[in-house]
Amino acid sequence: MVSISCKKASELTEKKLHGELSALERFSLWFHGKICPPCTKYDSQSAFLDKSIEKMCNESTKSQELPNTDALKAKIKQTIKN
Amino acid sequence: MNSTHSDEDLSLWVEKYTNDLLAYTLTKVSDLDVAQDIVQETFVAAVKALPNFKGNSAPKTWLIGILKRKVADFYRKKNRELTNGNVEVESIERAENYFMDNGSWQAGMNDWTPDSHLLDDNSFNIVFKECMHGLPENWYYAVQQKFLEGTASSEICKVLDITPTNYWQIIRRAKLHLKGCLEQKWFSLNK
Repeated sequence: MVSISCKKASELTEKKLHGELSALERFSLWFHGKICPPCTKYDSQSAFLDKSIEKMCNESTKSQELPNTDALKAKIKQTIKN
Repeated sequence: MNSTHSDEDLSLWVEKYTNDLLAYTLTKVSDLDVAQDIVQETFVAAVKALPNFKGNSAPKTWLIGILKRKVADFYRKKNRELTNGNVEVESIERAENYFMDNGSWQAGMNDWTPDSHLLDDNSFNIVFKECMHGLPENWYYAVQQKFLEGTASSEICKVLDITPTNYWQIIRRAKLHLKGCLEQKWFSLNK
């Protein structure tokens, strides 16, 4: 691997954020970052996107805004009766 | 505990557990109508499975077990639809447009710097949520599952019925989609 494209680097960035890089992949990404400023920038953007996703997930599980489910319950009861 | 349960029990469980099941489903799928359908299918399946439910687990746990299989069915079906091409193809094209044929970034594609203060900005969070909901369903599932219940990528692959290689492509493209959406709906307007 070692010499990789920016496209491949964008994939390895995701693996890195998931903590699933192999040693060779880690080296290839590090090496590519040394010579590619746009990829270094994307790396930080992608980490930021992860933080945004994490925040959204935490908030949606914390304060789940449910619609009124009366109609759904009635519909389900009707369906399972038949 | 009773060893057998009746249809009346199930009606009571609909009353008691529908909200919990719907809340759980909404952490797995982004669309409310889809989530409601999945909850309904769960109860329909529960009617059929009721004679086999011996009360070894709590009814809610038993129902969540059925629900998880229904969510997996939904994504499996979605995957089959997607391989025939539609919304996902467009999203793939948009994501890959970030790169030239040789795999390098198109010029000027990475020129915003993330600022963690944005995470506390309500208007930004609203735009971000919109962008998340613009993802194809299976991409949405893949990117958010990592942060819910600490799901490992191997487990996500199983639900989506995809290989690890496909999984990384989905994550990569989903992130590019989010990046593009924010550039269009936030960063270009808030320079």
